Amino acid sequence: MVRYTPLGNGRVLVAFDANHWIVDFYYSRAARDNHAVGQPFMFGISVDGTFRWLDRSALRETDYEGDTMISRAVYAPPGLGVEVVTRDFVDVLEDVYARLVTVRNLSDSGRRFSAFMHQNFYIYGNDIGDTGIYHPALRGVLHYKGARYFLASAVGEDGGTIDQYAVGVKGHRGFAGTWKDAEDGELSMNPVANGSVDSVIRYSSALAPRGSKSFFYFIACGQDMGSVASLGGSLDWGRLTSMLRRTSNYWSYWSSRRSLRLGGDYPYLFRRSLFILATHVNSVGGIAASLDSDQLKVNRDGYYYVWPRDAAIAAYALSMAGHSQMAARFFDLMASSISEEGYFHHKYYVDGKLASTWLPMVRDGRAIANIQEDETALVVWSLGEYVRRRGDVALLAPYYERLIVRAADFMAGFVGDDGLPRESYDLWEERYGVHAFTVASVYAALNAAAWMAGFFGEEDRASRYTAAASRMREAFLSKFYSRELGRFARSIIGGRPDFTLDSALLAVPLLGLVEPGDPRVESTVGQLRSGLWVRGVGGLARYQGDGYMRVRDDPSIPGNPWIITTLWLARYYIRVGDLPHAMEALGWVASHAQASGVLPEQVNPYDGSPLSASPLAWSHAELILALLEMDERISGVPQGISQAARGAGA
Amino acid sequence: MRAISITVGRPGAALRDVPEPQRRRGEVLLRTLYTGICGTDRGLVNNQLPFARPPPGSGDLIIGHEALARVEDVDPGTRLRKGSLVVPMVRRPGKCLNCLVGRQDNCSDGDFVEAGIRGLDGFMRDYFTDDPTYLVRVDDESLGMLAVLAEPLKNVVKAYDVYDLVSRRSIPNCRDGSRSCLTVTIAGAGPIGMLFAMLFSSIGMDVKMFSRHDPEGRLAELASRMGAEYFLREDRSKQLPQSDVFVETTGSPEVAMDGIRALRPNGVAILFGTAPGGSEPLTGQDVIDIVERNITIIGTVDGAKEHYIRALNYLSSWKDSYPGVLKSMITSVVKPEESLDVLARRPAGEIKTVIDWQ
Repeated sequence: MVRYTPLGNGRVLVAFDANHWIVDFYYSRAARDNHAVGQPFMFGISVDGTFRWLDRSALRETDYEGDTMISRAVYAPPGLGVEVVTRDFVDVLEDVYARLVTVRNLSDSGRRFSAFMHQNFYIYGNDIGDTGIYHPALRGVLHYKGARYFLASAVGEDGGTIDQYAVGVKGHRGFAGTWKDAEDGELSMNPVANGSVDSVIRYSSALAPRGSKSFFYFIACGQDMGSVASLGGSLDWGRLTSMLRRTSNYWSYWSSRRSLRLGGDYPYLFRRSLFILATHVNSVGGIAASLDSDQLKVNRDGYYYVWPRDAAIAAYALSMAGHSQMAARFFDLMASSISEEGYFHHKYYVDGKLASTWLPMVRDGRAIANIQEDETALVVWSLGEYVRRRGDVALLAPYYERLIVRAADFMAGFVGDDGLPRESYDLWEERYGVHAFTVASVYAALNAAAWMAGFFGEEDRASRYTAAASRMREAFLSKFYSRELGRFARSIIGGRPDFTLDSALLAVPLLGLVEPGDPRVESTVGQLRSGLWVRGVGGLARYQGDGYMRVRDDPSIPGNPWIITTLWLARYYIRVGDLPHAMEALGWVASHAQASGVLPEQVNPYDGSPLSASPLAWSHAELILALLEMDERISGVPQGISQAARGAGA
Repeated sequence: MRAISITVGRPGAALRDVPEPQRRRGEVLLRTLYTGICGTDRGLVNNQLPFARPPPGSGDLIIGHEALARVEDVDPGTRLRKGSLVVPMVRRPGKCLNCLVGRQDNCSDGDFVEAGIRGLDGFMRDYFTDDPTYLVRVDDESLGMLAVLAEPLKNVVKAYDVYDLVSRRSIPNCRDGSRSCLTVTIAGAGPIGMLFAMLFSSIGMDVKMFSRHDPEGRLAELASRMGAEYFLREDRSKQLPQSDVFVETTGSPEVAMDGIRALRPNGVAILFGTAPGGSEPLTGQDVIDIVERNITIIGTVDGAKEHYIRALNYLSSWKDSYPGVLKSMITSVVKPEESLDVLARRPAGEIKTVIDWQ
């Protein structure tokens, strides 16, 4: 399910469902723990005694406000004669989520309204041992467990606060939850509950004919009672208004640092992608693949991890768009997470700790490295390529020895007798073998590392990396290309080439393994385009016969179209100067963005609706890169990967 | 439903009954709420615009390109919902590179169409359908009919961007980093002139504007409320003040050259107004002055979607920062049935006339 208009500051991260209800609420120093895990924090209103939940049936619009990380929603509940406008934000400095609610009276008579805010915490992702308690001094409801404290309250423009509350047991012992208590417009005032707990608070006020009233609802977050009381107790109308203004200003300036010459919806999609991506970057440099927790319901595992591959592309996109400070935090995290051997594991928690995996350490009775080597390669490549392109050598210095050299030494040594990378898992995390995508990324990484080594005066090291890369390229050309088929193999598995059409082959030109204009590349891409472009809905499928999240068994559909694969195709066309085809692919992606600019991982091949995690950080990163490359193409900036990736020294 | 159309090649406009449009998949059905009347509409009605052309296969053209509309029907899953307010874009792309990337305002081969002007029916009708790509959502619904000003204002926003870009060939700023020491002279006090004045005034530049008539002193009063200075210039005998930026919105070549001649070194002239008449020789001394003083002359037309969005943001902000000024620019509101005379002839004292379709 799509998560709309995510908001975050690196420690607090919230996301909304189609009702504009919070369903993901991450909070910790590294925004690691999800305290909502997909369960809704409902929002309702009662006007002159008539109650209703403000859900998608009343929701008229939801979107970011302009180019800033303020989420604006407009509810027009039928029959109530009011309009409700909400502006949500996570303060850029303090650990506060807040919602400015404005209720407009559409009638010519005075009205009285009560707004109901539901707190549905699953602290640390579960509903065991939580406490909810009304705190009279703070005039709000406190939810806490361990080192996670949340204070929910409200404050009006006239200084008024909540007038009722209810705390109770949910989903247990026959109790639905306190949200049920709200539906008669009055709350029980039960002051405490523990175990599986939720709560509702009420804010009431009068409306003049055609008049409006505003109040802030807020959740202050802290690691102990003292910090949450201090922060929550300081939040009055003036302070929250100031927080709203600074958050709006900050993200508006932040997202407009780099402008594009493109028209249409592209400038806004570019800026939205930047701050949607920024919500996925935490304060310690973790870049989550997706904050969407919906996968948990299906797989009991999700996308809220750092995959070095996805994160490296995201860091590269942020850097290229002028936000290398965020990328620096990521490289810090990677430098402290790299293994002794010099490679990266499958994935990490957003605080850098090793995360769950499905890659085995033994195969056919033989011990193997349970890695996807392209992940290690792309971290190295993204740093080197950015520094080379933008000349930002200050970013490189802290990471050269502890990250670049260690990873490059590993890659230069992790090769078979033929010079190709040794077997590892592919980028789709499905096959064990030697993969074209891995070869292309390791080749690009070794060349980038060679350039960096040359820059630091380590010529011997640079030569070693360059020689390994050259040998790899020669082996790739001789072993992966079929003259008969006129295309490259996607993998060599168990010594046999696999010629399945796979969009990952687009990495061959995009990462500079073979020039985009090479006839072998042109022929391969032509076959990818005709074999993987999805009939009807459009977009490029991952590969022929892709079964991941397949909607139904249908031989006419090669697989679900993906955003990243379609953007690879766009970027290929930009490289070869075929701008009409590039714009066709970019236009397809733009037309499958949500109103807020959110992009999914995949698209339903039958109705074009979003599938799988949404937003997906990698999708946004690829869009940023494609738009920057298109912008540079039409502005006359040289295209393609830098000389570093082609093996030229410093 | 009602529609105001012209027969291209003949003077006059008519309010006709035409079939309601049928929405196709992917399109949005829109109810027109307000349309603005501008000089281009009058040029079309009076058969003065050689570039006017009807949609393919038709002799008639429904006019109107400044509009505010409400979404009546839309496919689920698109960015707009029923009830959303939108401003439709005027120019639609052809096939050149600029058009391809969504910058049809910079079309390089003229192969574009413009709603209500050339090759595409406009918005002076009760309902129309459109591609959501060309609809700009109005977030601040309290703008109401003022949102029709987004279309003319987007031209001004783009013109400012172009000015800003070329002005950076030298150091354009004052010693304090602002542009408050720069003077802008604006020729013409119609809606475009007023919008230029508000934009330049809002960034702190010293704005002077002039026109030939201000019988009741209303323009002077309006200019002063937006922080600008108005002066009468009934003929060319009155010297124009020295300025750093000159904006020409009347289309007079004589006025254009007077303004260019009054530019200071590194000055920029923005030519926006167009009119078929008039002439003014360019002398050798003019060429010397333009060269020696690094004068830049900009021609600018239309704007991209980005400029519409920014125009709406400006309107929203100016509504509060210049209280009542935008409302004062709308000098009359008429029904479609009352609009034909206003479309043919500009009423005395008009800044902007709006047609109310509701």
